[in-house]
Amino acid sequence: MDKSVDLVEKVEKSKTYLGFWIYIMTDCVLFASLFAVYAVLHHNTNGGPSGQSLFSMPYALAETLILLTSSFTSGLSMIAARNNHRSKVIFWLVVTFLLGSTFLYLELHEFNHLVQTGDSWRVSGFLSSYFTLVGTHGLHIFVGLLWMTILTLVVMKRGLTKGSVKGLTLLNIFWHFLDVIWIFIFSVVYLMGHVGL
Amino acid sequence: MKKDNRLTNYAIGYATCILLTLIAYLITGLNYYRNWAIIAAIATLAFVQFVIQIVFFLHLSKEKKDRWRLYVFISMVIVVLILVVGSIWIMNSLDNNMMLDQKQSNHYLKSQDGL
Repeated sequence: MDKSVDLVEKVEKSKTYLGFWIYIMTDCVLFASLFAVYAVLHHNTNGGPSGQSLFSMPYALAETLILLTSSFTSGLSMIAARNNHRSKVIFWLVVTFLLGSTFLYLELHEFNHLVQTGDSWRVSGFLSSYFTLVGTHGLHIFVGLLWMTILTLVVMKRGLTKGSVKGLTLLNIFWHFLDVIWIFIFSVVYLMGHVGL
Repeated sequence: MKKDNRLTNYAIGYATCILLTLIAYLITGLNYYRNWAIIAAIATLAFVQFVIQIVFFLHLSKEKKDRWRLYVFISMVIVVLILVVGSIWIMNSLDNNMMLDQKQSNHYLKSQDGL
């Protein structure tokens, strides 16, 4: 048990961890520029629909709660790793993966619905910036899911080794970061869009 | 002891975030169009949830082992603020100064007649 806590703490003190954290911070800057673009363009609807008429609020709330829960279960897999519970780590990773893919499915479903009803990114500056911002987040989620799949297989095959624990710790902060970004998408795009800002 | 701490932290963070999300959602449901108090409330709730997730999920603290992560984080926040606030500010000024409608542009041209 102690050995495993050591492994996690070693990763958290490593340069790799700090380096990955710096990458995440620069990714925040990427999202900030997309948010800035959205903030500037979201009134430019070019005669097309505004956010208020397009987005379904209960749908966005469901997405938010699912992603938040997946962030929590991802944390639980980390705690399981500290306690050296290999099967629990795998279990929580699978749960996180299922929640994450449900989220991605909902997001793509919404995109598909918008495009099918003629509200694609070609319609207006508002929709271009919306698809870019939310789509970039979705792309990150997709990469995270891919990473999670590989990591789960590695943990299944090799157990909680130095390498897999490192991967798990980094994936964990990546996944939390994606939920942090989503708070702002939910608040700025959906909630503020709904009240007509 | 330490393990229990982490679990409690996650549970507290998770419960608070759900609560904050629901409050923000319900406030929005009040449906006051362009009400600045509601918009300010949504922004505040988002900010609180941001801080909670950074502390309870990403475990950023003032402890010595987190010092460098904290410095990079603060730099990021500064860059993000300059980027977002600066963009909105500049683009709004551009909008006000360059996107004149017919009446405004006539007025402007007349005011330049004396030159």
